[in-house]
Amino acid sequence: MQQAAIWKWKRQSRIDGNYGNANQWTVNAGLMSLARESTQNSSDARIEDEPVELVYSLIRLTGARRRAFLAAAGWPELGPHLKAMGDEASGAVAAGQLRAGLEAFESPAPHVLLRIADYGCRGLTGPEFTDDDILSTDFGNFIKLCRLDLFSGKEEAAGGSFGLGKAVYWRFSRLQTVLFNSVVADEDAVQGRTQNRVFGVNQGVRHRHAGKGYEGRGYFGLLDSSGDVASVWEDQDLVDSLHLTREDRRPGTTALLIGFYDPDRPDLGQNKDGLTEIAQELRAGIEENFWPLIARGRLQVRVEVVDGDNVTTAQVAPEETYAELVQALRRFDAGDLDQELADPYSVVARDMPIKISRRKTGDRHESFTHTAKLVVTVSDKQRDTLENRVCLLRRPEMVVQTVDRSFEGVTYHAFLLAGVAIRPTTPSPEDVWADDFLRFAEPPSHDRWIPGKGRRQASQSSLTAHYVAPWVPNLAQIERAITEALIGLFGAPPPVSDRVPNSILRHLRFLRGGPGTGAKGAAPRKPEVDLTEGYVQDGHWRVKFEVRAKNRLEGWTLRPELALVGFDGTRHVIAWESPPELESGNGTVVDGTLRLESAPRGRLLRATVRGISTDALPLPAEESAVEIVVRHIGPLNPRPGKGVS
Amino acid sequence: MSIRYPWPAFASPIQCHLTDPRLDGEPLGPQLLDGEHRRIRLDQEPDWDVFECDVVVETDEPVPAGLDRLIPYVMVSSTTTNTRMPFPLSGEPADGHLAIPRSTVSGSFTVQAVTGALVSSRRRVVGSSAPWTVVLDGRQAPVPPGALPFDFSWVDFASDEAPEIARKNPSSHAVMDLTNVLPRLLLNSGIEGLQPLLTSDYAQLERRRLRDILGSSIARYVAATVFRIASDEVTADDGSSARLPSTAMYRETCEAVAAHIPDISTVQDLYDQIVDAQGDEFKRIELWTRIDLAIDALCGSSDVLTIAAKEVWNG
Repeated sequence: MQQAAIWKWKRQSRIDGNYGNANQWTVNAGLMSLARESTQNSSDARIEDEPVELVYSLIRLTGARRRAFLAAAGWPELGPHLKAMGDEASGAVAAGQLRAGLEAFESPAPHVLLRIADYGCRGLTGPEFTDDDILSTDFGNFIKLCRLDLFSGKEEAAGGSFGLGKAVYWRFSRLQTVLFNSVVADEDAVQGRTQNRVFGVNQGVRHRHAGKGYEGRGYFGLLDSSGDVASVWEDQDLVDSLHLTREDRRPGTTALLIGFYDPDRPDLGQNKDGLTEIAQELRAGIEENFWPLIARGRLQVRVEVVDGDNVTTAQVAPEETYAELVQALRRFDAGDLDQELADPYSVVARDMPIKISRRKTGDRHESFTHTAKLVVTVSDKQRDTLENRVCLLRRPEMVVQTVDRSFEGVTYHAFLLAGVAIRPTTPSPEDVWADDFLRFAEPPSHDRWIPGKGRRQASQSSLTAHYVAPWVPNLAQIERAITEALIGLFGAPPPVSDRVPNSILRHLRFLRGGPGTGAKGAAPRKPEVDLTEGYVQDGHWRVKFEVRAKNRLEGWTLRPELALVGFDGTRHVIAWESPPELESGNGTVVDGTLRLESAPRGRLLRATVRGISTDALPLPAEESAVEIVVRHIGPLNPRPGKGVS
Repeated sequence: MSIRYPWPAFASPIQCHLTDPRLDGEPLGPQLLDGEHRRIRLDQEPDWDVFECDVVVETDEPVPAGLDRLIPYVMVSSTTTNTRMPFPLSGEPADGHLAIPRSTVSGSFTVQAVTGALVSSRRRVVGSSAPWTVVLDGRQAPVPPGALPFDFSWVDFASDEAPEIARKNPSSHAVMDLTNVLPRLLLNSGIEGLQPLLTSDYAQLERRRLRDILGSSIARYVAATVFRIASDEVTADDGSSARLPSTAMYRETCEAVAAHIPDISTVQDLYDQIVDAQGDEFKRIELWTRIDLAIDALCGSSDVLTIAAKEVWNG
């Protein structure tokens, strides 16, 4: 009978200690980050020329299934240690996160596991321990993933260079605990075994449990002869009960994130709809970031939601979401390019020179100019998130970053193929060297080549170790070269909008419905008139109206006129039967002109006037509508040297 | 201004409610319907064929005496396509359904409830609502508070990335580009000192005076350019009243300029005078002299220069 798997933490050291693994904080939260890092991990582990298949499974556990899983995962040991770690919360950030995660995990809510299984990859190869007689160059994937930090082991072009990408698994576990199962190829057999290598890693914090001190990192597996935890091999029952079952015998690794959550949105995923939402976001993130790899047939991804016996599956299919990009890449690979951009889906390519700095390590090459390829296509009418953006790609065929430029009257899609991404199956040595240069230019999050400025500046310290400066101008030139090429294709982009200086804005307030600078205060700038009474008698309009005007020194003169109003807003002035007469107010009416004298006090001058229209109208008065308009407005007493204001 | 009818009519505007707006049968997002300002924004929507919505019309006011058989309907009007489409309503309160083909409207259109009635056996308009505006072209939409109805940016007129109009005038300090869908004001960041001067909110003495003169000068240039284009759109058929400019920005500018011409009472008067002057050289020169002075006053140019001159004179 096989020995049962257990959890074990290293006893606390007297001379130092670690309150959490800093690596996971280098990985951004958010499902987009999970999609990028986990897919890149699998892509980096691919077997030469083998297509990789990746399956994300969101598993919701309730009732008996939940209890069975916890028992198999060694919860009676793991739980108390996690609680002890949470008790260290006052002194460590990671401990606080663990405590919150444990509270959520122990609530009645269903448990959520995320299983990430790749097929067609190397799997967890190599020895169990970093014994003295094993050189670092002989470390297999198992040691790199499960036992070491900040060790990439990737000298040549690959996805990462920091050895940090694996931290994504623990970053998205509430309990910072991940189980692995791996199958390796026959040539990578470990002591003759290839199937179901199971191991677990908890990246917690230093803690005390049952009166003893422990370090933060704990392992799940079998004890070897020296008392250290090693992998469990070929235990199908354990594999099944831990939901680590692999679909077939192809090599690869399954990672199971216990208490899966998005640190940015910890409540998401508590119900079936939430899991579906996560699945959709994951799918979208993989499509947006890995459309080239999938388009070239080197990666297949599906995302499934497992809720009891109910499984729903969605295939990641960028050819639907990013049809222009996928088609353009396939036409580039086939050498089927157009001379110029015209209709949607027409494709052109432009050479983009990238200067590669002299390398002082590894292959030690001189500085040279690499010719990358900018591929541009005209978009169809289907909107997506990558239009008017240039995707920058190298060997992993993951979108590292985008250069965003908009042009008037055109929507385009574009990508820059650099390094090995130009000819993935037959790269030249220069392609590989260029790929390495760009890889080392990437910060740990692998989301930038082009140096940022100020607060946007990211660490590119890897270049320092491998290349002779300067390299910043070389990288900055990439963006300029892309912009120039796009301007050559589409003309100048519209300038980025800015804020109008106040010195101009305050003189243009009339364009926002406010008064111009010449109008201040609430009194009307010009006389206003209100028709307060009107009726038809004997074919005449008889009206009463009130005129209001700002009280000013020079007073006012104006002619009130009666106008017929048409349905379309047009006005036709008609004559008065006799000049209007003042009924009350500040003014006088002389020959039909209302004269408003300045008053010593008050902001407004008012006059109420009565008038009777002629009966010689172009249509019967009974059929018409009327209003009063005022014309010939001017000052009553012009002031010398001062115009009307 | 207020309009009077010689027959009994509702004293207050009637209420018109639009609900469940749809494009080609698909419901619109609630953010596109602004009930407070009676506005529906469709300018960002992709191509569509038919706009639909439900209408309810009501009033708290009792029916004025002398009115017989109220006839409620909704009038859909689009000035740029000369469209006026009545949609009859029925029931109490009156309601109905609108279906407006895209081909019949352009720019923007209004939806206004109107109540007719039989008055002494004649059909009369006895009430109407404030209109809803359905915006099809962003230029027709009112500008939100704090924003201007055009784009603005600093750009080096001599750079390759500058628009062509700016590249052709590399030493100009400002270009008002009205050839785009959305007009834009470009200021030349390539002129040393211009940007810090104009953006200095705490300039003093000579810098303040120069900033104010430059600021009002650029504003005046903007207003004059916009008004010139707007006035080109003011036309009239024989004997009819002048037709309004097409966009809200043009109309706002005309209204503001009209308000600063002393002997013009309404913007319609200004439109009429523009049309009237089109065939008369003397009238045109005289009118444009008054317009220029009005734009000076509108943009504060006269005031800024007067203040600066006085300050310099007084030392």
